[in-house]
Amino acid sequence: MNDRAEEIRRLKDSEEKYRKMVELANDAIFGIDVDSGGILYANPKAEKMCGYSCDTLTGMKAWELHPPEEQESARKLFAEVVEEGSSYRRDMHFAREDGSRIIVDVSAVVTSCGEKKIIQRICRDVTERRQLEDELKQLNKDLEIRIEQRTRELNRKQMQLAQSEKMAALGNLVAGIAHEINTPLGALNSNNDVFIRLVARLKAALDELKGCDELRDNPELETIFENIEKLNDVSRTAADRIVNIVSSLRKFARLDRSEKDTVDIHEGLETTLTLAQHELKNRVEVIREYGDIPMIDCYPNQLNQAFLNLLVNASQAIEGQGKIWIRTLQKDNNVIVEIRDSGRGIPPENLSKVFDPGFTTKGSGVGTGLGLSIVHQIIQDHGGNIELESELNKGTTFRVILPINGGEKS
Amino acid sequence: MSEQTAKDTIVLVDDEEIVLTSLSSFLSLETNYEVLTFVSAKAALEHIKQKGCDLVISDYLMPEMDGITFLSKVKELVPEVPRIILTGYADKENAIKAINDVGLYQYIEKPWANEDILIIIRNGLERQLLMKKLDQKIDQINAAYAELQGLHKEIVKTFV
Repeated sequence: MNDRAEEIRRLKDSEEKYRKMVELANDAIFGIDVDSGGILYANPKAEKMCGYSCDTLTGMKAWELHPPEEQESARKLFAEVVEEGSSYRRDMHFAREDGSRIIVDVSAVVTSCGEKKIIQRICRDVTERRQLEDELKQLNKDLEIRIEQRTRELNRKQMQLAQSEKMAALGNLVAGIAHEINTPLGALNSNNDVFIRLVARLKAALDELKGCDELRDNPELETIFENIEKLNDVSRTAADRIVNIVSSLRKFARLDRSEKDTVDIHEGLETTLTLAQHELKNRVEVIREYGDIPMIDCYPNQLNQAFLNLLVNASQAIEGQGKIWIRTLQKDNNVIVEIRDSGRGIPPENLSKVFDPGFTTKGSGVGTGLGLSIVHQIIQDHGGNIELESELNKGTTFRVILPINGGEKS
Repeated sequence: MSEQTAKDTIVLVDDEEIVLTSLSSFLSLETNYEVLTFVSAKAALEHIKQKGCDLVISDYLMPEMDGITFLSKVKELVPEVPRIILTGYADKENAIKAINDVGLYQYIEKPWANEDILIIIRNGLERQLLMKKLDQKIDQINAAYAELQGLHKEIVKTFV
């Protein structure tokens, strides 16, 4: 007898223990009838979480805890779990009594309560945590995007830096070469002049001797003089050309003026054309349509570099014979330089990419893909803009717009 | 110039023989100047110290002594002699600065034009000659003034 009373007391204790566990649990706990889906019991935490009283809850179906649009799928899920006797754990939305919505981590399992089968759902409000997680995810995404942008920017800057270092080194090299060439060139040039003077003297001296019969009408002497004079002329022209090239090189690199200066754009275009001569010679006709433009404030060596890039590009766009038009004009407070070619044009899909650093269609070893991106940067540094129009097989026009005042902002 | 008795002496200094040969050939062909060429600035200084000269043309970049230093030493030795520097592009800016610092008469850029050199030399020499004449005139005026002063004193003494 004692044993039985003891057993009852133990059962009571045990039931009390479990009841307390359920009632004091920090998670919402629901017991649901597998047949009807009706909520059989709900603990105080469940009341608090859903905003409904325990009485209301026990009159509801399990899926009615969800917002209307999710009730159908919740119902299906419920049926599945009942049929398969399986369990699940997932995030679901609950619609609270006051209409607000929360995100709930739901874990459901089919279990038996006496001979009755029920589904026990343990639910935890994770709204705040999920929101934080989402925010974190978004922040991470933003960060990644920013890192990507910065990396791209840094890469661009690095390429530009490398390029401007290269140009500076090239400038020094050009200066050195110009100096080295000018000394022997000075001697050659001077000698040509002296030869011409000497021949004139020699002729005059011979004229005085013309009394001598042997000298008069000597065909051999005549040929010699003819040749000397002709060749002296060639030497002089050739030396003049070297003088011009060296002078263009120096002006191009603007070794005498690497600072900001007020310059004539036409002069810059002409020196640049001299240097691009080997690209154009006998193949591309350059048509100058120079307008009346004022001097502008700029970094001449940088602008010359930009013009050279545009001219070489234009020339390379032309297969075989072709033309390049260079037009200058003033519009409001800007000077506009248009470089148009009769080349193959740029395919529409590439138009937006031509100024991107590293974009090239010339194949490795021919282009660096930096040329136009640097042109773009140089023009921007001058507070200007560059526009582009192109038609396949007709040609391309680059329009450089430069503020006369050099784009001084402050 | 008719009153020129002795030939004007021009000192040419460049570490490059080719420049010296070209320039001196041209000058001896077209002028009556006596042209002395030196590859060494030090040797040129020694000569000027001993014998003097009427005009100096020097290259800028030379291994032993640069042209500016050389010409400033020439200035110490013979301040009245016009000094001309010959320069390549790379050092143009420095050369122009030096013109003011050292008091150069002219600078000539390489590659030079013979005709320009001729004019620069002629003008330099003429300037030097005029300066010399001016100095002589000033001396004469000073002497005359001193004489006048003496006379003045004599007159005062006689009458007072």
